[in-house]
Amino acid sequence: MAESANDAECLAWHLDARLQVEGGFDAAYVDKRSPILQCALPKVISGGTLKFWRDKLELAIRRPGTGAVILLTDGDGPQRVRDAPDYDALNGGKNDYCPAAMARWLAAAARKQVGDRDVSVGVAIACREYENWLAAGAMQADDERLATVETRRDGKGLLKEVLGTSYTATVSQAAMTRDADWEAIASRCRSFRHLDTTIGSLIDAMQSGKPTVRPQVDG
Amino acid sequence: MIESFRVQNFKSIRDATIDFDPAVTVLVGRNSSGKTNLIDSLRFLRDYLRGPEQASDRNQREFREFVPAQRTGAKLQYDVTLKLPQFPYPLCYALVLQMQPQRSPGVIVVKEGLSGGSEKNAVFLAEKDSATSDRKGLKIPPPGQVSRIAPQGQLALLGQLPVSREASAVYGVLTESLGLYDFPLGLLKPNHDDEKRGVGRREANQRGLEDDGFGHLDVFGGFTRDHRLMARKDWIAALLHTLNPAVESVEVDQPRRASKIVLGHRIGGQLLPFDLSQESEGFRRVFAHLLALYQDPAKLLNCFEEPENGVHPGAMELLAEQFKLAAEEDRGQVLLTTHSPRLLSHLPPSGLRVVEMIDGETKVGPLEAGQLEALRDNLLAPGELLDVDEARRATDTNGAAGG
Repeated sequence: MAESANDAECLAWHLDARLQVEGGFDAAYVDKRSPILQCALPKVISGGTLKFWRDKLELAIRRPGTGAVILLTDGDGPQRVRDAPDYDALNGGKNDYCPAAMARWLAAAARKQVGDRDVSVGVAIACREYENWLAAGAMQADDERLATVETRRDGKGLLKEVLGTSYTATVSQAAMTRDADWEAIASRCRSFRHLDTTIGSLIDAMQSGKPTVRPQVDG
Repeated sequence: MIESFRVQNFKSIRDATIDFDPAVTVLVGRNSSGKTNLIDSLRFLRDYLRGPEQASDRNQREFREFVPAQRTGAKLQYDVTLKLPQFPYPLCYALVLQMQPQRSPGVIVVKEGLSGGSEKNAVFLAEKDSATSDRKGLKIPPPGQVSRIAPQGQLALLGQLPVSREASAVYGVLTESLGLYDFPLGLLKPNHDDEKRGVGRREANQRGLEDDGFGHLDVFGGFTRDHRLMARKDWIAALLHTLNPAVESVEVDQPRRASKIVLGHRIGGQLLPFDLSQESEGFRRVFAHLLALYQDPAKLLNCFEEPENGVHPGAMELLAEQFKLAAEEDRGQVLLTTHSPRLLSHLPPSGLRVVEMIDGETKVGPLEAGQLEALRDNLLAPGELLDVDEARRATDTNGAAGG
């Protein structure tokens, strides 16, 4: 589940890459034919009831052969989460935006939705935009901008600035994903490490036959 | 109504069947999946049956483009099943044409047949290798017998069997009752060349609203001339009022010699006349759709390609309602293509047909069972089949066949 077809293509690349490293293709393959799109965070959490998230998750779970569902979305969007006491509780009683609390909120809803079915779910939120990660990978090690690369707004603008050329997601995002130095990006971007860990957990779950929901939530 | 339409070997289509919904059938699929090819194939059949002198310029000029690029020797085949109220059984018409791109005539009939639902009720069957070649000796057989005759080269026999009720009805439907609209940009705006072309065409052959929207004045003028239809004019005005609240009436400029359609706008307490051609593109497009749906005589099928083009999203519900109402009120089935989630969300999912391009071939079929179930369970809205969970065609492996 992703925001756009480009995002879904990139997410599938990360999944395949990790499956290759883990030798996990005996346990899983990535269904690239039919990603669930338009999963931008404001839409996913709209209304505070997570209806969109729960409905689309159910849709994915019901597909024959589904072993795991993963959501990757940009965190650049909501400033406040309104009318959602469950979220406030996970966020120390506050309704301001916190990607970690957001991911736990979605995971808690996912756990309820999955019930006792044999399906794992992972939620990964880029701190700002996917392009912030690509920008982090394109920067030199001594680039001063690295300090704020993950949290800076307008990731696409930042990426253009770093590349010194134009950037169009539909044309370039997947190609840059294939060429990027993801080890460097992992060392520079915490939210990418969360994605990587989440993917690893889902693969483990499918290999071991013990479903999980990530990030972990109480209960 | 049209129950099904099967075509083989037309452009990207090797073998595809549209199973029509009794009300609104909607073709969804990506760009270049072959939706327009399906409609063009239906248009080619209609224009071919009208006869070479009646066929549209476009078909005569471009038929060579319809030959599949990879199968130039393949025969173009049609199978159409109709259910008409005057017959207790479905009527099945089959036509096989050999395309001869390098020769004249470019198309010849290889096989043609009409049956009343089973072989026993065959009305006629014409095959190239039939022993009898004299069409003058043709007799329409009593039920249970088949008349085997030879096809007549370039012309289909369907329109040449005056004593057959079935043939006459099917011919009438396939040539006169298919409104296959492809409204161009600048629709219903005065254009001198188009008017000259159109006037000649209308004199030769008047058949309601034409594919490009020509004939709109005749069709609308009919509402002012026939007392049974006058309410339609006011109803169309009421519908247009929902698009633009200033519009209060739609009339022709002169009831006896109409030269244009005039809309009455209420501005500052006065009712001012505005020429239809001065209205916006979107407004004129909605008007053309309404005219097609309310024309008299009604079509058996009204087909609209991407009716959302140029139209404000707020008007999608109005259009969807009118499409559904047309079938309910016996003004014809509707066949649509659309890329509009908003329009799709107002239409029943039962009529959805998914068009896909696979290995250079157009495939069409019903929606995958899982997605249908998701729609029923409200996990998905119909419009989300275009942008959230892209519509997938049912295949043999999950229970339903798609052609």
